[in-house]
Amino acid sequence: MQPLLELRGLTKDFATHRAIDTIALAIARGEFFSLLGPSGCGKTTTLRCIAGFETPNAGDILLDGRSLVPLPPYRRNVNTVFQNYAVFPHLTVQQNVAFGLERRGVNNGAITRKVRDALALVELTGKETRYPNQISGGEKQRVALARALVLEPELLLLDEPLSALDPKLRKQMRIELKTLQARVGITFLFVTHDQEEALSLSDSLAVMNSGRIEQVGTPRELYRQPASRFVAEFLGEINWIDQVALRPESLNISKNHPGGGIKALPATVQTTTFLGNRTQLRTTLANGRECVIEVQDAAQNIGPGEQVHVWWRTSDEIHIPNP
Amino acid sequence: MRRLRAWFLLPGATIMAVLFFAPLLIVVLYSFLSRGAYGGVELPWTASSYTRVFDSLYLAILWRSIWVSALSTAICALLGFPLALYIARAGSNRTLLLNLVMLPFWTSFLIRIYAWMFLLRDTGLINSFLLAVHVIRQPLPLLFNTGAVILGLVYGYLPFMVLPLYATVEKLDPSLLDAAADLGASPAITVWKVIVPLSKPGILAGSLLVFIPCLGAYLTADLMGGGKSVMIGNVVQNQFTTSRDWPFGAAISLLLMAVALLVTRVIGRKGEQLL
Amino acid sequence: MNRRTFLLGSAAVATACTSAAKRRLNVYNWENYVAGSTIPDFEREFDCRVRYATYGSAEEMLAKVMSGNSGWDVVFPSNSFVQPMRELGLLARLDHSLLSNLHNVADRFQAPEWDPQLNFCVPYMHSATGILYSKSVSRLPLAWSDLWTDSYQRRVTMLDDPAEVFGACLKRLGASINSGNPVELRHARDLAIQEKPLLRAYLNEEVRDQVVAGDVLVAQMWAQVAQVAMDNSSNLAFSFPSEGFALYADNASILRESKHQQLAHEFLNYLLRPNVAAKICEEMRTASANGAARSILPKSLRENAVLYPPAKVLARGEWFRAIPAAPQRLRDRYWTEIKAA
Repeated sequence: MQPLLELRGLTKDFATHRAIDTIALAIARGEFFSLLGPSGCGKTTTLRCIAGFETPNAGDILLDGRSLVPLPPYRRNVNTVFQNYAVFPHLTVQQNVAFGLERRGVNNGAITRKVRDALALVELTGKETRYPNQISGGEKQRVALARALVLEPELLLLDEPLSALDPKLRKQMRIELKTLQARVGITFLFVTHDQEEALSLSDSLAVMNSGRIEQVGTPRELYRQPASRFVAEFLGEINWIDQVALRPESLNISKNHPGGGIKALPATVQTTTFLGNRTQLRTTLANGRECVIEVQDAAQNIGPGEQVHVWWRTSDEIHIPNP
Repeated sequence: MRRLRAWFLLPGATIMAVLFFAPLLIVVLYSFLSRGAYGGVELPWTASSYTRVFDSLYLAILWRSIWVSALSTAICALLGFPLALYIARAGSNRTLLLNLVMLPFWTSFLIRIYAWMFLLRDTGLINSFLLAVHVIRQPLPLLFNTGAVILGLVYGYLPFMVLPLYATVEKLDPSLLDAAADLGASPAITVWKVIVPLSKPGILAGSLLVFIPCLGAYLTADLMGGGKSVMIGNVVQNQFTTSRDWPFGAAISLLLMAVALLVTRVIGRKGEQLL
Repeated sequence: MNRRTFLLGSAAVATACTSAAKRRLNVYNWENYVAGSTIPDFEREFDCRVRYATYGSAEEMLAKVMSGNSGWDVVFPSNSFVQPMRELGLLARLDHSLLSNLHNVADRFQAPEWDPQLNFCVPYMHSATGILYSKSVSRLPLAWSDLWTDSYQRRVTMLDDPAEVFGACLKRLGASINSGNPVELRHARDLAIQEKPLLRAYLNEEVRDQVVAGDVLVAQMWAQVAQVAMDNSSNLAFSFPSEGFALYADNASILRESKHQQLAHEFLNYLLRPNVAAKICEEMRTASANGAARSILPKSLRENAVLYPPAKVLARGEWFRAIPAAPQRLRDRYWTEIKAA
């Protein structure tokens, strides 16, 4: 099946630096795809190139096999939800959502119907006549969503839409976004620096660093089999023990040596943190390096200062080529 | 604490009282006195200056001044808006461009008007050039008519429109412009449907700053209009010079002030509605 | 310290004191009415400091002086302003014993109608209003009525001064330029409104450059300004209209508020010296009311018919007078109507 969106050798330079360097990517139709990376990695620039707000210096962007590069943003069947929502302050909620439809010359009756449906989809029914300065941040975000979705684009771009919300609201919106995407079936390209968000929401994701794509795959693939040191360290915590990498939850801890020929390392506990459904222990190994372990049971009353043994299953080892 | 803060108002209030309210009061008093034989004012008190003002001759002149000023303001807005947009998008050149807009203020206004007269008259640069390249056979009457007056007013007051417009446009959230494009608006539609409505406060402020001075202008009307078309400012000027009828001049000035206040109120209300 | 040193020292101190307390004079005059050296020479000879400023219109001067505390000592009112300023009590009575050069004033000005005894003013410079024109026109504008014909392709200007415009119109009607007759004034207004479409503009001396350049072919203009224009272009001429024209003279007066009456008289006497007045005339191209000065001018200026019209021409001239309140109000209103037409 032909991918919905393809990036081929996409490069964008700014006056002072190269923001993205020959990026290649393929996103399937109906996917919830994330672009994940720290600030300055080029994820927003990539999104802006797809939307049409930046012109790439080299490479191509194909939507359904057709190049988007020669088209201005207002001719692309791609819509964006902005980080600060960019809701028009001089228009009501109704007028905001209707904006794109009016540009297309849709008749008034159809506009009213579609706007009503879009607002219902984001649960903003009843707020049609409010102005943006009369609604909350979360509600503005829904307006931005509705405004884009009502146009039924082939691809919806979301530029860190949840980062301006408080943590509780953010978690709630995450679930809503996922459900929404499943319902409407539109392909989402979601840009974020929050790895937890990307891992929980995406069907597939790409990790970016310094203008390059480090790895593409499903969340499970990237977490379990990171292709580079960067990816390993960016997605959750990782421990480097000798030549292998291990996730905290892959490590076991006990006061006594487990025996049975299992390789175990002595360690000294520094701190224990109770996290509700698990406990995190930060320990120091004999060579002085830190080792973070997470266990589900209440760790047999192991406290700070105690000498313990740390061991793991070989199958849980993560081998990274040229770390 | 509140009492202490009130003391801080004292210098400003004193200046306002001495330099603004006191002279205004004097003008009001003059308008109700009678004219002296050779200028100045004297008793008795009378309201005859006001009855004379409400005469079709002067009202017609006032009306003409209003529409000339309104037209000049509209032209300033049409010219100033693209200019403000351009400057706002000019990046590192912004300060330079703003300084260029302000530069004419460093020269005397009178000299600038004379410069225009030099350009526009029959043997001026423009006509000489057009005759030399055979575009015209007779010099064009570019000076000494209402068009020249409007040109002079627009030229003189354009910076007053550009600066508030720039201040507003510069604060526009660029992501709003991206959003408009994203939703299918071409650049022209974005200007019309997003930038202009959001610039309304700047447009209104600039319009006030242009319209009110234009209403009282007399120098430009005199020089660029060749003294043939009189604006209300010229009538006031005459009362304090050749006609030496100060009470009448005062009465007309106050009428003009009333018109200016009315316009400010109406435009101010519109501005409030937007916010 | 010996006696010599002491005397030198006290002399130095005395000089310092006197120069610190130098006499001051404040003179308020029309523009272009003194030569470059006139004031500095006076300052040097009479050991004083002169504050000299200029004004562009008699109304401007009157407005400043009317308050009674203007700070000026000597002003130069036009003839039609002398009477009003007297009535307002603004002018000081002149002490002829301090004006030894008063006899230099030309005969014509020894007993002018605005101050027959010269008690309040000394005639200074004089001029008239006529028509400055380009010799290339097909119809020479020798009468005001010529300006009402469409012979000059609308390249005609009138002065932006109600008294002058009414003056020309009233002369066309055969009336006095100072007329207060409502019927005559109304007809004058109608004439002015008729003339307006034929005019390029109402301009004062600023039109001089345009006449020299050829933009404007015919201009109602003051003789002195016309003379300067003709100095710049041999293609120009000046006519004193056949129906009659306005005469005016600027006079030197001392304000009653002046605290330097003595020095002011000395200044007026200084201006009455033939060589001083002649120098001003030569440099600024003005016409002096000083007969003795005129006689020592070079022939080209002395016999200049524009600056010193012959008696036959002068006979057609009429002095401006102050207009009483009621006719003034009527003129004001008609002037506004003309401008708004």
